[in-house]
Amino acid sequence: MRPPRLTRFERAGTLALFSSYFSILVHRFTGRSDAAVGDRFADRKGYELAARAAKSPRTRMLRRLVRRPQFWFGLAVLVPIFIWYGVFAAWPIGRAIFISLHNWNVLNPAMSRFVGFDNYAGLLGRDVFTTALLNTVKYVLALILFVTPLSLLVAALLNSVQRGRRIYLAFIFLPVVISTVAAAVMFRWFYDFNAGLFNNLIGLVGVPRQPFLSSFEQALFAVVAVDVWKSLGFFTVILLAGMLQVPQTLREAARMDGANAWHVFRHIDLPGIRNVLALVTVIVAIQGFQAFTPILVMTEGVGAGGPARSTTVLPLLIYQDGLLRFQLGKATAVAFVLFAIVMVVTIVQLWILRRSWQR
Amino acid sequence: MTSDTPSDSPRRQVSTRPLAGRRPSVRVLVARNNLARVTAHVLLVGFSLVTGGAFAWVVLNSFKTSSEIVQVPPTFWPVEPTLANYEIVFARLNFGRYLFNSMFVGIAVTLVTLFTSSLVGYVFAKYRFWAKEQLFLIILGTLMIPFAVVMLPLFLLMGTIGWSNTYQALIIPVGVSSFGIFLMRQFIEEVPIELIESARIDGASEWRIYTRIVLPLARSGLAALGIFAFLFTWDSFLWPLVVINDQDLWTLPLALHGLNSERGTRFDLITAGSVVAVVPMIVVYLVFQRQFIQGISTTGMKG
Repeated sequence: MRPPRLTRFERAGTLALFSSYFSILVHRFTGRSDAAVGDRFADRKGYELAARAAKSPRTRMLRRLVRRPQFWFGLAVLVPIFIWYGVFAAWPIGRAIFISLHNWNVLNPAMSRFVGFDNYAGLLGRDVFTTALLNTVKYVLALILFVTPLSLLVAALLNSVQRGRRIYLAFIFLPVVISTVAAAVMFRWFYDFNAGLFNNLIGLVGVPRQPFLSSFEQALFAVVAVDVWKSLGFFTVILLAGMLQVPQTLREAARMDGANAWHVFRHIDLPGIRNVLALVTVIVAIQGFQAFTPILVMTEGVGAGGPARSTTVLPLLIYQDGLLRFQLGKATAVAFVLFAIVMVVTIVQLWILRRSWQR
Repeated sequence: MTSDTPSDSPRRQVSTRPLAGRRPSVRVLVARNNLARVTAHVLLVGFSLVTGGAFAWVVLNSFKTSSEIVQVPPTFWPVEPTLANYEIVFARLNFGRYLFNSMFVGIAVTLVTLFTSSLVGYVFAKYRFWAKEQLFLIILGTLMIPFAVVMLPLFLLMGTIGWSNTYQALIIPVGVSSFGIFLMRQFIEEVPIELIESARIDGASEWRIYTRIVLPLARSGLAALGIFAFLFTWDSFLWPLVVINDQDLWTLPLALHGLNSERGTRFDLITAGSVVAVVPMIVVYLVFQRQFIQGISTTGMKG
C-alpha cells in the first residue's frame, strides 16, 4: 500500500474538517480500502471533528457512500451515459413531439407556426397516408405469413437431420450477413424484365415474363420476398435453438410408438417452442413495420414508392415528407403513428417474454 | 412433472395417447425413418441453394462483360471472364474509399459499443444504487423507439452542432446500444461477486476490476455483441443516407444505392459493387460462424 500524500493538509490544523473529507476523496482515487482510511484517521483531530459533524445517521450514510470507490466509478460511468441518452434519445423525442405540433419551417425554425394536432388530424385526409398505412399492414402480414412458417419448416428439418446440419445452417444463414442494400440491388437485377434471373427461370417452364417490381400488384410482394429471403436464416436459428431444448428422449419415445415425423413435430416440437414461435412472430412484425431500405432501393427507379405508390410504406413516407419535401411537421406526425403501432406490438412482445420466463 | 390436470402442457399428453394398439414393425419404422430423412435432406439442399445460390449467381456474373450479363438467355459460366467490372468499380467509382469508410465506421462503432455496453452493463449488474431498476427500464424503453421517430430531430441536431458530413455523426449517435447494455448486464451478472470483492480487498481499483476480471469473464458476450454491432453498422443505411451528402464519406450501402439509382441498368457494375460490399462481411461470418449462431440463439431466446 502506498503512503497517503496528504501531510500538507494534515499540518494545517485549521483545515482539519475540510481535510478529512478531502482526503477521503483522494483516497478513492488511490484505491485504498475503507478500513485503511479509517485507521489512518482514527487518531486525528480532523477525524474527530468530522465524526462530530457526521453525527446524524443520514450524513454518516452519505459519507460511507462517498467513501466507496464504486460510488465514483459508477458515477463516472452513468453520468456520461445518461447525458448521451438525454442528447440522442430523450431530446430527439421531445423535439419530435414539438415539431409534430407545428407547421415546421426548416430554413427558419423561428417562423414555424403552432398548429396543435392539425398534422395528426390531417393524416386521415391524406390519401398517401392511408395508402402507406395499408401497405405497411400488408407488408407485415405477408412477411409474417411467409417467414414464420418457412423458418419453422427449415428449423424442423435441420432439427431432424444429424449429418450436415452445420453446412446447411451456414448456407441458410448466409443472407443474414449480406447487407440489405446489396440484397436489394441484387434482387432488383433478378427481377429485371429482360436480363433478370427470375424471368429467365420461369421462362424455362413456360410462364410468361412478369413485370415484378414495375407492377402495381406484384411490387410489394416482390419486396417482401427479398425480406423473407434475407431474414429466414435469422429466425431459423432462433427457432432451432428452441427446438434443441426440447428433450430428444420425447421424440425418440414417440417414434418408437409409431408416430411419424409430422406427429412428432405437431405434438412434441410445436408445443415445446410455442413461446419462441410467438416471440419470433412479434420480432418479425416489429421488423416489418420499420422496413425501409429494401423498399427505397428496389422501387426507386419506378417512381419513389413503387408504381402508383404500391410500395409506399410508413417509414418511406416519413423519409419523403421529411427529407425530400421538408414538411417536418407532417413527417413527425406520421412517425408517431408508427411509434404507437410499434409500441403496441412491443408490449405484446414483453408480455410473451414474461410469460416464457416464468416457466 | 407428474400432475395430470387437463390444463397441463400438451407436451405430456403425447406419451399416453398415440397409437398404443398399432405399433409398427421395426422394419417399417426404419424405412419410414429413412424416407423422412431423405426428404429432409432434399428440402434442405433446396433451401440452401436458394439462400446461398443467389449470391453465388451474383459473384459469377460480376466476372461477365457488360454485354454478356444482359444476354437472353443468360450464360451460366462467364464466357470470357473479366475483371473489368472490378476495375471500374474501384478505379472510377471510388469503391476503395467507400470500403475504407465502411470498415472504419464499422470498427469504430463496434469498439465504442463494446466499451460503453460492458461498462454500463457492469455497473448495472454488480452495483447497488438508487433507482437502479427504473434507470435500467428507461434504457430498455428506448429499444421501443423506431428510428424513424428520432431520425428527423437528430438530423436537425447534427446540422446545428456542425456534424453533418462527419465521421463522428456516423459513430457517436449509434455508439451506445441499449440492447448491448442489456446483453452485457445478463452476461456480467454471471461473474461471481466473490471474485470482484476479493479483488477489492486486495486493493484493486474499480477500473482494474473491470479490465482484469469482468471483461475476460464476459468474453463470449462481448464476442456476440461485437459481431452484432459490426453487422448492424455494416448494414446501416437510413442514418448514413440522412446525415451524409459528401461522397467522400459514403459507406458501401450508400455507394451501392448511388450506383443503383444513377446506373440502374449497369448490372455488370452493380454485381461487382455488391460483391465488394458483401464479401468482407462474409469473411467475418465464416471466421466467427459459431459466435454468430450462438449469439443469436442465446440472445434471441432471451429477447
